[in-house]
Amino acid sequence: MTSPSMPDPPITVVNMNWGATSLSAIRGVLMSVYDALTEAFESTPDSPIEVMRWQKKHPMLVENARPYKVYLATWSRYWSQYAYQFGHELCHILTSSDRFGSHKHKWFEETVCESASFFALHRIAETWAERPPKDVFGAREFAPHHEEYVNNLEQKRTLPRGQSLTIWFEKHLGKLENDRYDRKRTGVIAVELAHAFGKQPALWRDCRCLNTWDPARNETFTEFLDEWSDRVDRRDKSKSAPEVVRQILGLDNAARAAPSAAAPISSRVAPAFGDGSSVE
Amino acid sequence: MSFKWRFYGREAELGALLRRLRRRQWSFGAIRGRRRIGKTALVQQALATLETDSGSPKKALYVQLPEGGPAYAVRRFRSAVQLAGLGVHLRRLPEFSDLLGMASAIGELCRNGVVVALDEFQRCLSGPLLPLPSLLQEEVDRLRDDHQASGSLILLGSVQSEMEALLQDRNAPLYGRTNFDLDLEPWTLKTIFEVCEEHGAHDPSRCLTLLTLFGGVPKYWQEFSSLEGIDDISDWDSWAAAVCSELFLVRDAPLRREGEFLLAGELRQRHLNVLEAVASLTSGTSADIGQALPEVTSIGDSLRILVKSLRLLEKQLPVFAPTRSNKARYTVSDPFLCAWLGAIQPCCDAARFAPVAEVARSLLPMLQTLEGFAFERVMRQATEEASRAGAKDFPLSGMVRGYWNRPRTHSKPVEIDLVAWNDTTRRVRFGSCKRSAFKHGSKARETFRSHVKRFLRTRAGRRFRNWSQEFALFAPEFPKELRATLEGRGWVCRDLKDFRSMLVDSSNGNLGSIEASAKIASAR
Repeated sequence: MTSPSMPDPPITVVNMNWGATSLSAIRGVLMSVYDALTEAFESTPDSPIEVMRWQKKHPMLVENARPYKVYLATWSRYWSQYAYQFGHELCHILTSSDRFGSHKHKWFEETVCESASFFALHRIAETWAERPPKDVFGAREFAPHHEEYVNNLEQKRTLPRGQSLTIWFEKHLGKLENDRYDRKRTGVIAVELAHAFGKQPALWRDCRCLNTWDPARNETFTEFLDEWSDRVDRRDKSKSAPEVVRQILGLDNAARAAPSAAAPISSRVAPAFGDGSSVE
Repeated sequence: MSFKWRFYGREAELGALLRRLRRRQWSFGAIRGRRRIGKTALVQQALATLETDSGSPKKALYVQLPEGGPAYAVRRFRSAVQLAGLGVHLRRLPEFSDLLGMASAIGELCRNGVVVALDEFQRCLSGPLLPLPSLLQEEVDRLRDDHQASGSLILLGSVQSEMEALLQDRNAPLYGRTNFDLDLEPWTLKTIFEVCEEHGAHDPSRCLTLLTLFGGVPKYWQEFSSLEGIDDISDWDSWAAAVCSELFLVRDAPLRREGEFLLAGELRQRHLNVLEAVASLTSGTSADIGQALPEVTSIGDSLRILVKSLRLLEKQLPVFAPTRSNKARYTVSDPFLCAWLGAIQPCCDAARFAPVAEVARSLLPMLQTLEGFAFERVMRQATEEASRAGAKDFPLSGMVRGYWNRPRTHSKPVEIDLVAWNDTTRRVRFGSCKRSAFKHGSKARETFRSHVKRFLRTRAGRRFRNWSQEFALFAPEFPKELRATLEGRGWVCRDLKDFRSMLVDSSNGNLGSIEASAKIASAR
């Protein structure tokens, strides 16, 4: 994925009806997200990205297109929404999503990318307060709104009080495998991943190894994680991303043997349920 | 006031203009809309935004075409060129003092990448500036074929019919040449709520007063936003009196002459007479208007222009009549003109001889009456806008429009403020609007239900008999306890705050700041 001679500029915002905003401001927002995620992944895309607007409800990355083509479902100056949507699609690019298009574990990549959006929003809330992008008018004052926006999203995707993620995951894995775009369900896991990866951003590096094998040959999600583990090159003793995911979802052997002692994250009891939206 | 005035709303229009101007190609278009609607502001904001993109000011020229002769127009054009420092692009041209020279200069500026905006272009339809469109045609055609040209010519005009005649009539010199055409409507309620929030009118009763006075015309809201010390007035009476005094009644009030200016600028005398007659009748048929104006012969013609071209009057058909009924009634549809003719103009006249404070107090009851009418209009608009925005409250497929005449088969009248329906879900909402929530008392609610009952027995209402029926009460604001009581009894309560939250979709997150608009060097 790493490309030493990255063409300049990495992002082009295509001239369309984006509402009351300059293209340079949009690009400024997207570059903030780009910087946050490429720094965390320690990798840059192998081709420039063209960003366009469409009037559908969700953003999209066009498969197998170079330059990459990202459609955003936002406009005007809803900066957090740009960051959220672009963060997700950029993560697909950084994880080489289009190498293996459709398989039953694809929900996990959706989850990782949802999590990358949360991570990027938390990160740019900090960077905009300290070093606001010069092309985004009033960026410094806007910084707290990114945090507000992501907190709101995370709250909506938090499990109801008293429900543990491991039990929830066991119950919903089948549904996730059937519908990778089930944002409410992928979002529940994404919130947990974002917490863990936020504490240890080096874990994002391991996500570059996703899509380096054909996941269609992995019968179970555990097998998928095992194969991912095999591909992660870990030089220090810290936990790798697959290990952290196992722990969060209660799939590690230690957690199964002694859940209370060995699963500090996965067995975490979720805080109060956000807005009453239907996370079962 | 807590916020600095900025550019509000108009996302789609500004986006479309920017998309056009960002292309490094020649573009030619028109921006139309009522006076004060923000045509110039839209161009200024587009230029400011382009400046952010390119890092340097976009070369632009704004000229308001005068009513005087060609020599005056050319002088004005030349001084605007000088002020904008664009003379350098015209060095190759000989000195000019006529419209031909001016048209060539416009062409030369556009060839050099300048955005030229000609305001009041409707003045070219007749009179001394009549040759200008033909002279421009030649330049426009040359620019269209010049692939190096990157400038733009934007024609701004306020009179709809005249702009159409200049650009869309098959015989007009500039016919079929524009590559963009923007029609600016009054602000949406979503934008108005945003402005109210930022400029000290978030209180629903104040928001309604301002909506009654200004409708969705940006310039008037801007004048309101520049009033000082208004926020600190706590009671509505004193606040409304202060707003009216400061904006309309005191000697140097910014809008004191606005109504006259608007009417004189847009209307010929006979149309003005008809408009004033309609305003005095509140609502009248052409026969009523004819009776009020025995000396005017072509009332039908004036009515057609006032409705279709100028959009100052609304033609309403009777609810209980065939579609092609000739019993149409006319009402003033422009909210500012409604307020001006119904209350402000007589008070402005009175303030010349009486103390302003006294006149302002006498204006309040008239204003409250107008607010009652305005509120019905606002609620209908809000219901439509919320539906368009995808709010789940009441997705619309139709609404009763027109005036409530007495059905032939009934001895008692039927009048319902809002009848909206959804064909798919077979749901109908009947609405009653009151300026105060407390006016929705038991007697008023009973009367409302009896009107609905009678409506359901008419030919027009019969189709809704077996539908799911909702009875909605509308007021600027429902106190919590009253809402709980009414909702407990099965009534749907909707107020301005409800519509605000439906229209301002928080799921998009917060809106970032916008660059301050550029001032184009101009000659007015």
